[in-house]
Formats: sequence, C-alpha cells, structure tokens
Amino acid sequence: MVKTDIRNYLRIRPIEEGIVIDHLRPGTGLFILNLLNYEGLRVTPGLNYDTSKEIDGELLYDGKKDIMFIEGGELTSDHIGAISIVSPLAVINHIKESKVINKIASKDRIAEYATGEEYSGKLGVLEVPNSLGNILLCANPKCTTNKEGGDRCFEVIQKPTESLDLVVGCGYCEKEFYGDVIRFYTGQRLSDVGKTRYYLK
Amino acid sequence: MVKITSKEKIITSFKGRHVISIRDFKKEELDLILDQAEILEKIPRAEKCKILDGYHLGIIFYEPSTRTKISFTRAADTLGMKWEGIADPKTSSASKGETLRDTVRNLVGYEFDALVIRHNDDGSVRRASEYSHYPNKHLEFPGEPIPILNGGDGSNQHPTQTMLDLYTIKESQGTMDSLTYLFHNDLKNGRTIHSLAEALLLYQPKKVYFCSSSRLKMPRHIISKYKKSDIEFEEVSRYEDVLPEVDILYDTRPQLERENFTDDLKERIKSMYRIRAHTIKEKAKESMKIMHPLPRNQNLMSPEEECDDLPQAYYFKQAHNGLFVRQALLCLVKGVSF
Repeated sequence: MVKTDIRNYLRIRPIEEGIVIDHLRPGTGLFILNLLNYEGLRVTPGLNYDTSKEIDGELLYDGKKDIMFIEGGELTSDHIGAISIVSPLAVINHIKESKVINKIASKDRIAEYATGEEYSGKLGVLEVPNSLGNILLCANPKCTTNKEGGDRCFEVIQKPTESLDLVVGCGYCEKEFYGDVIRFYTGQRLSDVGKTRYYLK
Repeated sequence: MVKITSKEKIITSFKGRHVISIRDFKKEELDLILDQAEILEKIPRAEKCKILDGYHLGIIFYEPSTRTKISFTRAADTLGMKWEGIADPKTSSASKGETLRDTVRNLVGYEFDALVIRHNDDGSVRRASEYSHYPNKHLEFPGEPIPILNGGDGSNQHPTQTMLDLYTIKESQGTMDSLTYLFHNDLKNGRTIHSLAEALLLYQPKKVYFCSSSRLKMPRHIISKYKKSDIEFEEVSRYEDVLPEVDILYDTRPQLERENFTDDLKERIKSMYRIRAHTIKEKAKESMKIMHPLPRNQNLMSPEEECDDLPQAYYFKQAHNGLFVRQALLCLVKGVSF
C-alpha cells in the first residue's frame, strides 16, 4: 500500500494565470482580499505562513506572512495603492503561462531582484501613489460623494513614513484625513489592521 | 510677430473657466481679478450697463443667502446681463429628490452663459461643474462647457468671498504683503477664514496671528501648511495682547450651533471673544481695519455696533466690494477684460 503524505494535498499548487500577493504583513491578507473584486475567481488565502525574509538582520514580521493566490484576477492601480499603504513590503507577482512576468515590490526589494539572476521579468516599484480613487470613501458625511454618490478622488498629501501618518485630501470637499480616520470603500478603516510599520526610507 | 504678454495669457485662460475653489487660483490670477474689480469700481454705472448685454446668468441657490445672491444678481444687472433661476429649493425639483448634477444637466441646455450655485453639500459645486457640458455624450457637442461659479458649497469653499476679502485688504492697505493679520474668534467652523488663510500663503504677510478659544482653533491641515511655509505665525488666546501690531483684524461669528458645548461654555466664548470698541480705541493703529464676512450674531450686535463708527470698521465696505469682484468674475469668464 502506497503511503500518501496528507501535507502534499494541502500545499498550494502554482497558478497558471493570475496574481500572487506575497509577503503581506500578517493580519492584512483578508483585509486586502476584501478590497479586491474577486467574484467568480478562484482565490486561496494563506495566513500566517512561515517566512525567512529578513530586513536589517531581523526576521520580517517575526517570521510570519500572509499570502494571497488569485487565479485569473487583475489589480487596478487603486488596489496596488491600497496594498502599498496597508502592507508596504508586499510583493505582487503577475503570472502568465505559469511564469512571473511582472513583479511589483518596494524599492529595496526591486534592487535585489534587478541584480539577482533568478528573475528576468518586468519590475515595478510598490509605493504609495500621489492619488487614489474609488478605493477610498470620504470620511466627511457632508461630502457630496457621500450624499449624492458618484466617483471619488483623493490626493495623497503626505505619504506615510515610520514617523508620519498617511494624509489624504478629498478632491471634492477638500477635507483632509489622517491615518486612522481613512476609510476604504468596503467600510474598513486603516486602523482595522493595526499600526503599519513603514520600514521604507 | 505679436508678443503675447503673460497678462494676456491669464485673461485668455479665464474665458469659460469654472470658479470652484480658491485653491485653483495662482497669485497672478487672483491679482488680475482684483485689478479688474478695481477698474470696474471706477467705471460709472451708465457706462458699464452694456458690457454683458445679451448674456444670461443662471442662479441655483439651495441655501439661504443675502449678500452673495444679491451681489451676484446686481453684478449681472449692472453689466446688462439677464438672470433667472432657482432661489429656493422648495420651488424646484430638488424637493422631489433631484440631484444637483441632474439640475445642472438640465439648465445647461437652456442656453445660460454662466451658472452661480450655492449648495449645502461639501464639494457639490465641483461635482456639478463636471456636468456643465451638453448632457449626452452620444449627441453632438454644441460648444464649450458653461462656466460655473461657486457661491458656497456647504462648509467647504466660498471663493468669491475670499476674492472680495483680498480686494478689501488691497483697497484699504494698498497691498497684501508685509502686513500683520489677526484671525479672530471661531477659526474652526468658518469656511471664509480657512480660504483666506490659505490664500494668504500666496503672499508675503509679515505675521499671522490666530486667536480663538482652544475649542475653536484653526484646523490642523491649515496650521501644517503655515508650518511648511516661510510665513511667521502664532496661535494666541487674547487679541488685546497683539492688537497694536495688527493691520487687518478679521473677525468671525462663533458658529456655536455646530458645537455640542454647554450653555455656560457658549456664553463664556461669546463674552471672551468679543471685539470691544474701547480696546480698539486704546490699542489698535488708526490704519488697522476690522473685517467680518457677516452676518454677525444678534447677541453681538451691541458691542459691534459700538465699533461701527470707528475709523477701523470696514466690514460694510467689505460687503459692498463683493459687487465689483463678482462683476469682474462674470466679465472674465465671458472673455471680457479691461
């Protein structure tokens, strides 16, 4: 009788077309997933996976990470912007015909991929964009976007760092919102995923 | 080859332009509006009554207004422009739940040449401006979008008020630069004070004081803009202490109806942050000017009326200046300049 190791069944098989969001800060995987429009797509969330990734000689996130496998999905610039805010050290892999064709990661990691031999596809920098769209909700209840609906747009006034909060300004009511008050269109607040530590210089 | 000056370029850029937020304007553009207003103030009424003859101004006012509505309609009248529209939302389809953008989509088809809108939702006039062209993209586009002028959108912007404030400062002091400003009373809720404080960042004031109760302080985002600028500023709690230095005292009505304060605290704020005529007489420069966006609170009438006869009182002239600034804007957005 052939013995089968049950762990083989539980491993996630590589996807052929789609997106893998790797190295997400633990606790942010499902938050990010909620923001994505994954209806009808096969999605496999991985929470609290082990990782040996180090930053400045320390294990990243105490050796844990979340990882999302989305088959056939695509990310908008708004989605990528949200990932950069919630989990700035994540690595977004676009996969086509079972190969990674595009990697989007923080500047430091991009430098690693650019000099390494293992990866030869496209590279993009994961950074907080200068503007965001419908992914955010205006926190001002009197804003026309909350009263009469319609598209939203936000200017990123201050990009977050280790010591400074993210500040966004609504393009309609011109009110500015800091850190914890910032809300996503799902109703989730930035504070729901705890304080993000920004290692980025 | 004819050389086009930068002033001509700015004048050309005004034609058909929306006036939504003071943040959309550069210093040179604001200066041009003030220059045009000054010229219009000097032109006799009989000579300017044909300037915009044949044009039609649409008015959509969903909130009460005295000065803004009447000065806009008088500006239109005095330039020979006809006007009509919605003066009360109860008499329009807004009472049936029609959105502002649908109202604007309708009115742009009725051959208005400009629309003035006041609405109670923050940001609503910018949204409305996105619908100021022909309402169906599949039909032939009939021409340029019609300019929309913001007459106040909720607690957000009131750009024409800021322009008339700047005009009043320039008229009374000759410049916006090298002056000491004192913003006084409710610095938290007043949209006019926020817009003017932001507009002054384009100039070089000597110093700016923000004087209010600790509960009604200038919002953090404006303070952070001052911190990033080269302008010297200070938050103080008593206007009397800094009054001798001040050139422009900009007072506001405490909008205590927006705050959840106890009656006792409301009374204390009303009493403490009250401009008193004897203090002005004792401590202020003769050349200092008191400005106020009006209306002033009924319960503040007495002490303020005391101030009305002081040489420093300038708030009624400030309100009158709204006519010339609005005349200038109507001319500029229709491509008329002097």
